[in-house]
Amino acid sequence: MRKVVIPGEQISDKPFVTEYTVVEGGKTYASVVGFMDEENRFVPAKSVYTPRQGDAIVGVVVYVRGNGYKVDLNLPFEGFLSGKDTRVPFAMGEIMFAKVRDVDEVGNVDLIDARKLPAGKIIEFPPAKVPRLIGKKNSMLMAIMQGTGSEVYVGNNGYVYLAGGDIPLALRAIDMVDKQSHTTGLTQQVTDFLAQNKKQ
Amino acid sequence: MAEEKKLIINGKRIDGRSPDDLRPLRIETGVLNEADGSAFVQWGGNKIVAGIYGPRECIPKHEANPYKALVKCRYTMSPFASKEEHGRSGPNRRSIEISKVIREVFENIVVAELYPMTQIDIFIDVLQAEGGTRVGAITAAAAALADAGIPMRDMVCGVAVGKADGTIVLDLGKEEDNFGESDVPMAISNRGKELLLIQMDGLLTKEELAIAIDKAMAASEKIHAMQTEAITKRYEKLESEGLKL
Amino acid sequence: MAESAKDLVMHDIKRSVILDMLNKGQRMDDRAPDQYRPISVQKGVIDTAEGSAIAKIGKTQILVGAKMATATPFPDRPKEGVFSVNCEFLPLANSSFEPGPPDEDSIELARVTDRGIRSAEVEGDNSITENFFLEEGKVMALFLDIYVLDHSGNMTDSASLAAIGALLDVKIPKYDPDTKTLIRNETSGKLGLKHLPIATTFAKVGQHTLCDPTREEMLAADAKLTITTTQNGQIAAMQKGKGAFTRDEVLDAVDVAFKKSAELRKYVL
Repeated sequence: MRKVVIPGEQISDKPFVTEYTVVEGGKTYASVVGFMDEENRFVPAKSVYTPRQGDAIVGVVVYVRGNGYKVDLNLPFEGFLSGKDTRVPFAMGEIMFAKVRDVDEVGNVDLIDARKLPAGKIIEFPPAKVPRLIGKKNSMLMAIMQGTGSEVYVGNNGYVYLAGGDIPLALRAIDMVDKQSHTTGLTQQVTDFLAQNKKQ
Repeated sequence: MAEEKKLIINGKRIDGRSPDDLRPLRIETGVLNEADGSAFVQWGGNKIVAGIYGPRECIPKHEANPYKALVKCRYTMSPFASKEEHGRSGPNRRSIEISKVIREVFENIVVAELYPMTQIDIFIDVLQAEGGTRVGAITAAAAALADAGIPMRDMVCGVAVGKADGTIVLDLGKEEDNFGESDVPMAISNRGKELLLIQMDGLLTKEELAIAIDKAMAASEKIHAMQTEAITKRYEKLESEGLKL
Repeated sequence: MAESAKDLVMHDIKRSVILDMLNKGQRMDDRAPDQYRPISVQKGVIDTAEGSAIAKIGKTQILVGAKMATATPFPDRPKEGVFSVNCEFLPLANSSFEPGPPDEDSIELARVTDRGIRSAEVEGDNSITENFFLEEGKVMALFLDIYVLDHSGNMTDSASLAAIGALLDVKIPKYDPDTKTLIRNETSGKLGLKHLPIATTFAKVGQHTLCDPTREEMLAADAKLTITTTQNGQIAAMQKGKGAFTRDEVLDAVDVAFKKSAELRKYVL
């Protein structure tokens, strides 16, 4: 297992300012728990999601306003999709897969490129582990979708959408990725797990 | 009362410890399922659980700060935490003061500027008490914040040093807390070695205080190592077993 | 715990998916309709309490501490001991729990737990409090404090298990008539529990009746019912939450409650 880094621990003698580090006296310290990867870069294990331009998100319309839609993104505040930026009208409770167009200085999120998803299940997943759930070239996501027959969308915001197929099995696979995200060979393990548990 | 009770006999304390020994300490993280981060500390006869929520929407909204997240803290003691009587539930004057000084520890180290208009909640419940609950609470809360992924400039832990029978002793037990001459709870940041909490009651000379702080600094290294182990261990086991009291 | 518009919308989405899957014969965590999540009960976990137990059902964790004290009896029952149950929804247990005085849900949980135990073990013959009279104007009091540490659904059954576990664990302190105080380090014995009332909670989602509802299933539910039953074949308490049940649904649930409480009871013994 790779070495766990804890907050306050030095990770470089040069300054690197990121949202997961603090710089003091020209040196860089981790500010959250994480690991050093093969190239000696710091990878957070658990962190608070900070939306960035271009992020893919899964969201739920919670208010319909005259000028657009307030969208729950699993963040302290709702995001906003302007009515001008979508040709598809949304109703309350409808689910979307969209992109972050812009984030202002107090964290308000503007959305664009919204696609409507049919009714489905939404779960919360640790945002820091989203890259693992997607996998290299979508490998993990494909393995879960093929092994369960479910349609799965993963947002950088940590909302995961599931519809159709064997949802309880997909949930167990996703839980496995969450619990074992720091181990290697996980895609194969998940593929094997799904093959063993596939309902006939 | 103080004269009645011998707290140190032949260099040993009433629970058999030497002046520089800590009580047995166990720290675990990820003990709660719903909280964004959590930790449990068993320290001597103390059992303390800490849970973190946030950053989340600041309530009431008018308290929200456009420059940073508000750090909020609520420390309470269970009605069954004391051997003697059945206590009242909910905050009282003592727990409100302790909540405030604990909040003022974490305001120094949480990188709150990243999350304007939000709040970060630190909830601490003392399930069983034996003296030194506030420093145990700080030790638990720091591990819980790390578990929650809340960015921190540094780690912090708490420890108390006091004076019993004329000797400066580390990590006061219940009897020493009740019958000793003085008590100095402290919270110390790991890298910066700053005092983020210092309170005192009883009487000490300046020289004695210097010794007390030095002893706390030395002990904080050990406690920090245990926090680190607790945080690391979480990534070695795959399933959380919940709270092991 | 006022629900925001966001909560209501999210519940609505979850409900439609849960109902859809139930119609296909599946629960979100693959359980049978009457199947509980994994259960554990650990007694004697708090040294400062006269009795204690932590009960876990799935991800829900509830601690109950039993504390004994001397008290003045109620004027109309001068020979009887005092029994009291209180409940705290700790804000660390769920993002919807807010700091502050107990709300109606936590008061309801305390009272439902209280009624089950009071009906079966306190009132009537062989009461656990029958030896609580100490002297004129002085009786013993037994306080149960329900501490909800993690709320992932079905708090009622978890609290019931932890409460019975704590009562079974109680060591009654000796009374010193000279100082009129309790001697905490010496015990005069255990409470003689005879009936072991255990709560069983049902959620009705559409046409489906589920045991041990998760928090999500509870939010999606149309109706909720708790039935507390004893090991001697009696019903000791009932509480309907939201929604409605037919006569036959209630009576069918009673049968399941007896069966399930017998399973649950094994974890506290």
